[in-house]
Amino acid sequence: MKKTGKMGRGDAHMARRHGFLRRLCGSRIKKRWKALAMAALFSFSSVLAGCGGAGASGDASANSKDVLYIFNWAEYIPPEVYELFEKETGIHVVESTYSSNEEMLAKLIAGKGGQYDLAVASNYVINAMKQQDLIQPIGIDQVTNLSNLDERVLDQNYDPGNTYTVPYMSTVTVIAENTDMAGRLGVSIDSFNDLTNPKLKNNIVAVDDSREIVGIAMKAMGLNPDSTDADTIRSSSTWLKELRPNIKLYDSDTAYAAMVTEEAAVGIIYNLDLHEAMAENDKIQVVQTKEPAAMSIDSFVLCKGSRHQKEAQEFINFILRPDIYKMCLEEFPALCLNKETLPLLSEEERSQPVFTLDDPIVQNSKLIEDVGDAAEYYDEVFSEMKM
Amino acid sequence: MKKKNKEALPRGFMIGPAMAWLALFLLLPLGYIVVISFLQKNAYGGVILHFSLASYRSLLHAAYLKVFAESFLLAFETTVLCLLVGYPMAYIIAKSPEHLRAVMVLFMMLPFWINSMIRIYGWSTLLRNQGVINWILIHLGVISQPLGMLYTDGTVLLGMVYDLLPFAVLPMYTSIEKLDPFLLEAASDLGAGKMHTFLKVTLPLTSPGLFAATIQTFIPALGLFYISDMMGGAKKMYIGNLIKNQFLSARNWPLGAALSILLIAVTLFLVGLYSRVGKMEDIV
Repeated sequence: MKKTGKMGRGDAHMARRHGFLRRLCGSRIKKRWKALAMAALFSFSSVLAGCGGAGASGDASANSKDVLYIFNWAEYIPPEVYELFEKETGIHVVESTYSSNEEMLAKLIAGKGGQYDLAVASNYVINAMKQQDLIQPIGIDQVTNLSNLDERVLDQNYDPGNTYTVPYMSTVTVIAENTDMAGRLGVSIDSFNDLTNPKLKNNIVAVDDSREIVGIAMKAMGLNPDSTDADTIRSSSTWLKELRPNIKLYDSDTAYAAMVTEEAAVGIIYNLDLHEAMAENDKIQVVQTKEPAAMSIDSFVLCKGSRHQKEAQEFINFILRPDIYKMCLEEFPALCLNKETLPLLSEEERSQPVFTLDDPIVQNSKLIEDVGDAAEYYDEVFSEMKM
Repeated sequence: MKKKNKEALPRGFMIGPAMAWLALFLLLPLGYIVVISFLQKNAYGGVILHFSLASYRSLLHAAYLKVFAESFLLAFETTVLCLLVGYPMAYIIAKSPEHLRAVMVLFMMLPFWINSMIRIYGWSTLLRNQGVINWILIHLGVISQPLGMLYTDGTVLLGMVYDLLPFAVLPMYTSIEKLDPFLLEAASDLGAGKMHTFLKVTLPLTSPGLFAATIQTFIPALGLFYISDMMGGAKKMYIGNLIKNQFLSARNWPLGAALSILLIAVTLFLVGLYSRVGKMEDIV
């Protein structure tokens, strides 16, 4: 799932655009060149790694004992946290970013291990990462702050006993609406089927992700959103065809902006974007649908070939500390999984919709499951919607 | 025959670095792409070392052909608009006093110091419903409702033309500048009107520039994908998106590689076609 954005505390809009620009000019261009140079010199296989391959090459000269390479979603951990970590422990963090699980998988496979220590991955790719031998046990008994996390996100079926994963935050894909605009259009939404209402023509902003959008179609049709059967998945295309004219834009990176600037009346967006949009435009609300929302748990995983297991454990303990976790949440308000952080937050923060595990939408949500090889059918159906 | 220059550096020394650069950064990656296009895909991304033609067979799917058709149409429209807008621009620059020409070319190139994605993002802040243009029009009372300009096919075309225009203007400018003014005087002496002179003298003599401009806009236009993503709302799939998706979300590298090779083949074909009508030197 795609993470973005900063919480709207006044100038969030600018800050976020800043991050966006930084990502555009900084990482994409420069890293591609670095990647090319590396690829040519060291291995052919990383040519396709593009941005990712070289991300970690920045501080090659630094003492390997004091550096931790993190492969993370763009804008998910604030840079101040890394600075503070270095101040306290002397370990310098080098972060490379990606914007989808698929991108991360592709780059880790292309890079063949060793270039990153920690990655942040969603629950439904953990199995694939295990099968592809991309991750190793994290040494969970050293992660003492694991107890700060809510038990409800621990010991999940994709990783019993949390051998490989330590949850960080969680995102939920929700339906948001601009009540003014929806009122003017004469639409009210309480199920996914309402999204295909012709009155919403050209009025929806949606995340650009095949699992999310096809998943919504399948839930609306009463099908299993994690089906691995090609025909079942393909049958969702009829529903998607009805949705298609209503989509104004797909945007996983800055979906909140389309809601804030009222380009779209309705959004199929991540809760992170919802919080940001709500902070900047008070007409925006979340809608509770009768179908469950899609949730994913993003966890730290230890990459295969990492030589900094101790530093990685130290970092995970650091970020799970209630005060540090609070810093992360205030910058990137996804779903709070840290029960020790909750008392530190203001009542206003805690009462945001889709922010804690006790929220009714979150309670009713469903984890996105791994579909293995069937991922290509999801992509196929979604691509066809765009053809 | 020229006398051999004994003081010249050894040939390998002279062209070696360039060849090494080409081999490392062009041939190797290209070879890698060719190889993986003939391999089997791995369900989790990457490839299995097993010969397969599956990716080339799937190129013939109707859906992919449609994506190719859409991409060609967009590239064609972009090129035509770039020529229509660019030719008069090039003409005006070439006919300006010499000291102004450099300034005008500089002004045209100046935006290129800024990353093109940022410039495209700038367009969306201008065009969006609460953007500058709609705000002005509404406050002037010209319109009562925002025009809804962003995320349409029209804005994609606008972004494409904006991004590629300088590539069209520069070769045409060079061509028009080289045009011998005496020929125009001769045409006028012989009684040709302005229109007649333009059609019979100026246009044919500057056609190499026109061809070069066509190639230089059409080929990049085929591969650009972020403009349709950012200004079109990522609603339509073009060749560029299709290739990117195969690597980053569909986990089908061989198909992505095969699509890239098809794109390269089409490009080479166009350049080949061009080399029959125009001079290769005009492109550079």
